[in-house]
Parts: sequence; C-alpha cells; structure tokens
Amino acid sequence: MTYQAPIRDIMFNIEHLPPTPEAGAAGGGIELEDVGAALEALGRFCSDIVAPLSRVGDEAGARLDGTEAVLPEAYTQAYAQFAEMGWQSLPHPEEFGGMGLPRAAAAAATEILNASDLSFGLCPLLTDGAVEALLLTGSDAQKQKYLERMISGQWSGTMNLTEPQAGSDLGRVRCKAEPAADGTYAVSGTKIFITYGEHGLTENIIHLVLARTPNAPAGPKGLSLFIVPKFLVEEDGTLGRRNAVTCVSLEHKLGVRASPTAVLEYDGATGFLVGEENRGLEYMFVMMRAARFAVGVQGVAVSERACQHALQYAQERVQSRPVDGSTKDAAPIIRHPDVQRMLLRMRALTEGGRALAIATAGWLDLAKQGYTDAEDMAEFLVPLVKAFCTERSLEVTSLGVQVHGGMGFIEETGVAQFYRDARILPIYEGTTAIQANDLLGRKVLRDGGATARRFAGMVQETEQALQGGQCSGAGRGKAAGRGVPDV
Amino acid sequence: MFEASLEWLLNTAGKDPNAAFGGSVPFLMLTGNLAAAWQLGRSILAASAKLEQGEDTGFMTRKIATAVFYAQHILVECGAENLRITEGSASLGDAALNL
Ligand SMILES: Cc1cc2nc3c(=O)[nH]c(=O)nc-3n(C[C@H](O)[C@H](O)[C@H](O)COP(=O)(O)OP(=O)(O)OC[C@H]3O[C@@H](n4cnc5c(N)ncnc54)[C@H](O)[C@@H]3O)c2cc1C
Repeated sequence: MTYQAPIRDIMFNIEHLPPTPEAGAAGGGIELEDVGAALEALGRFCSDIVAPLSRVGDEAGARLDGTEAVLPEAYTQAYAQFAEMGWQSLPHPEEFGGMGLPRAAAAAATEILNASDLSFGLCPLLTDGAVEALLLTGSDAQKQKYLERMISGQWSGTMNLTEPQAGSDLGRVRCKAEPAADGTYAVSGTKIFITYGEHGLTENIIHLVLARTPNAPAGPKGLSLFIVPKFLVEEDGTLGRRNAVTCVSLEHKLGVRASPTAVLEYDGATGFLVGEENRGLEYMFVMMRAARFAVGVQGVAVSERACQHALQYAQERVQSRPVDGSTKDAAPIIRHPDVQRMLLRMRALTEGGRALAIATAGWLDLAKQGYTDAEDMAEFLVPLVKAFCTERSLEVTSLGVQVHGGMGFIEETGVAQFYRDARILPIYEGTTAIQANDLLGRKVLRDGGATARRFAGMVQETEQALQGGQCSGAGRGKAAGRGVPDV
Repeated sequence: MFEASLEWLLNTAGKDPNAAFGGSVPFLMLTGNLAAAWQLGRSILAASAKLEQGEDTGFMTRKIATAVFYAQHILVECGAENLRITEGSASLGDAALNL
C-alpha cells in the first residue's frame, strides 16, 4: 500500500499547538491555507515518487564503486525532481531563495518526506542542518558562496563529527587542521559513519567538519569547525578542483540501507574556518539542535507509516470469531479487542509524538524571535522530541510487525523494514542516554529546576482547563469525568 | 509524579550523581510522555471547541478519543518511571554487574 500524508491531523496540530499564534503559521505572515496547500503538494509527490523508493532502496542498498557511492537509479531521478520542485527550500529564509515557512510547517514537511522513505529523507535533513549552521555562524562571504545552492537542493550538506575513538565523546576528536599561508586550512584524518558523506545525487557536497588546529587545547574546547567542499568553489561560483576527501568504504547496515554511511579520509583537504578557532563544538550544537529535532520527527514519521500499514492489514486479514459472538464466522482481526489495543497504542503514540514535535517547533520559532524564556523551554523540549519520539517509534514499528502476525516478519510486507529502519533513530545525533544526560545535567540541574517547574506549571494549567470543563461534550465527559489520571 | 521525580533528582544529584544519572533515561521518558500528553490535552481543548461549533465532527471526535486513550494507557506509565527513579537507584550500579 502507498503512504498518504496525514494532512488533516498535521494541520490541526499546526493550527492549535504552537504556544502562541505568532509561533505558528501566523508569525511568518503566512496563511494556514497556503501551508496546507504546500504540504498537500508535497504529500502527493511523496506518495507517488518517494514512497515507492523505500523497498527498492532497502533491497539494493547504497554501494561503493571505486570511491563513488552509487544509489539505485530511482533515487537519482526522485532527488532531481525533489530539488526541481523546490522542496529543500521550504523552511529557509527568502533572502537565500527559501520559502520561509514557519518551523511547525517545516517539521510537518520533514515528517511527510521521512515517512515516505527514511533513507531518502536523510539527505535533505542533513542539508537543512548544515544550512542552519552556516546561517547562524558563517561569514557573509561564506553565506553568499554556499547557501543559495544548498537551499535550492543543488548541493547537499553533511556533518562530520564521529571518528573511530570519538562518538558520544566528541572531546576525543583527532582530525587535524593545519593553517596555510592563504588563510585556508589543510584538514587531515578519518571520519566514520558520515551520512550521505559521498553520493552522486547532487553536483557538490558541503562537508562541515570538526577538527583540531595545531595549538588547540585538548578536549571539547579545542575543536574548530570547517567547511570542506567536495569540489572547491571558484570566486565566480563555478566548481573547481576535486578536494582531497575520499570515501574509502560504505557500511552494511540493519536499516536505512539506501542512505550511504561513509568512511571519509581527509588528506590535507582544503578547509575554510567557520567563525573563530576553538568554538567549533558550540557552533556544531546549533546544527545538532536542528538535527536532533528533525531526528525526533523521523521517529514520528516512521511511526505514522507503520500505523497506516497496520490499520489497513487489520481491516483485511480475516481470522477467528469475535469474543462477543457478534458474527458466527471469522471476522477481520480489527474486531478483536487486543488488535484494537495495538492499533490504538500505535495511533496514540504517533499523534502524541507529532503533537509534541509541532508544539516544540513553535517554541523554537519563538526562541528565534529572541524570547529568552522560549529559548529555555525549547532547549528543554528538544531532547524530549529526539529521544522520546524515537524510542517510542521502536515500540510502534514493533507493534506494526505484531499486527501482521507471521507476515510481519516476512520482508515482502514491508513492515519489517520500518522496524529495522527505526532502530538507528535512538542512536545517531546523540543516543538516548546522551539526550537524557543533556536534559538532566544542562536543562534541569543547571538552573536548579526552574525551567522544569515552569514546564510543570504549564502542564497543570492545561489539566485544570480540562477538569474545569473548558472542553465540551465528549471532551469533558471522557477527559475529565472518566479518569484521565493525574500526573 | 513529574514533580516527585524532579525534586528527588534535584536533592540527589549533588550528593550521589550516579544515583541521579541512573535515573536520567527514565526521567526523560517520563517527561517526554507527560509533554506529549500535555499537547494532546491541549488538542482535546481545541477539538472540543470545534465540536461545539459543529466543525469536522468525525475528525474532532476521533482526535479526542485518541487523546483519552493516550491518557489512560500511556500516560499511566509515568508512575512506573517515577518508581524506577526514586526507589530504584539502590539496585543500580556496580554490585549487580559484578564489577
Ligand atoms: C547509520 C549511522 C549514521 C550516522 N551518521 C552520522 C553522521 O552523519 N555524522 C556523524 O558525525 N556521525 C554519524 N553517526 C554516528 C553516531 O552519531 C554515533 O554512532 C553515536 O553518536 C554514538 O556514538 P558511538 O557509536 O561512538 O557509541 P558510543 O559513544 O561508544 O556509545 C556506546 C554506548 O554507551 C553509551 N554512552 C556513551 N557515553 C555515555 C555517557 N556519557 N552516559 C551514558 N551512556 C553513555 C551510549 O548511550 C551507547 O549506548 C552515524 C551512525 C550511524 C550508525
């Protein structure tokens, strides 16, 4: 079955869940209907072109041909259309050719794309992160040189943090950057697990690389951030010489198999410093906040896809008489209470995750407008989106397999792939434990629980509104009257 | 439940960081669960108002039903996380792993 973007639910979320109207569509001066129309068009593109890729990509995987990563041909065509239609530009500023949609709408677009195929969605996701980092920390000249063509989807972006000895602990990064006389740096070392680190979907790849200058202090405070393009970009914007960064292998993986995960060898590659030396990790955190949020949205995305498959299968598969004796014959399994329990768990976790993500997108937009209170709240919520939505996606995709019975375990059904694809989500962009350390250490203990208490206060206000009957009929009867537990 | 875990963590982290951080993932899962429920609670409020106006009643009714299911079947897991955090720290750690 094909994927249908859940536009109705998404639009309900965008309309009602950002903390203030300014943080939703209204803030960008954009009509809700226009957001809806854009997302519907994206949804059609994804149902028709992207969703059919996922089986093909899972079976063929990305493979290495010499030093070039090759994706199935259908990916190349789909990406070209994706860029042509301008989808990469959706959340980015108009100044550089973007559509400038608010973040809640951008989150919805990320969901739709990634529900169609996580492997495909990863390329734009990393480009978004790199664009965000350059927007906030790049020089004007760097912005002029790179942003327009990244935002158009002509070039993609990557983030190069991980090395064999440095994963969760980036203080152990060893890649070197030697300053040259002309103000550039020569970057050398090995980076591993680099998503879309090499591919032919775009004519250039803009790597953002963490490395250490010669006299940098040890540990995390001695890292600097560099732009290392696959092809150097001349002053007139044309592509010049191939830079000294080589893909030496691609990983064989449990899931997201069409997404090339590269080992990259930097051998004196020409790099351009972003901002100041030794502030690289700080800058990278900018990119990581956007990327962590987006990975949380990937969790919602794969959950939605699993829900749609499970619901359809449960309506078609006939097995066993219902316990209430309502029919003499065997009935579609959706009539069995436990199948309903599984489907509702899947649906509720997916809608809960989506609601959390879209509300958080609103807080992120408020933070960007300079409200410090919103900044603290966004910082508090992002690790929740990342870790909660991805951990729960494992449960949702596993239930999706269970609803299918034995067929769920058979690859042909496609739902086993969602389960395998989802498994990376609680690992990359900082494992669940790293998110939890961030939440407890930096977002809760550091301010003595002030933000956490503010969060609790807002939750309580909503609880009171629910109990105080600010909701009507079914809402009040069910939510307040019939034991919505107090937490 | 959230507040109980929060106060316990604030009181414990200084004197026994291992005990506090042993509860960090349960605390994240508790907080994430509550935050999602909070937004679904706001969804109930918004959907009820729309229902009252007779707008898209099928969708609004389903939205409320899903949110109520969440509260009764998923939000309740916060209780278990709170117990893990506040009562479970003693059995975490080196001893049981034989280190
Ligand atoms: C498919 C894929 C794509 C990736 N894409 C990219 C990419 O594009 N760019 C990039 O730079 N990297 C990428 N990565 C790397 C990824 O971000 C790391 O694998 C991840 O951050 C974990 O690091 P690690 O593998 O070294 O595990 P480790 O850090 O060795 O962790 C092992 C275990 O120890 C736990 N642990 C570690 N430290 C702590 C701590 N302080 N407290 C509690 N628990 C801890 C972890 O939670 C984990 O369970 C990718 C990885 C994969 C598999």
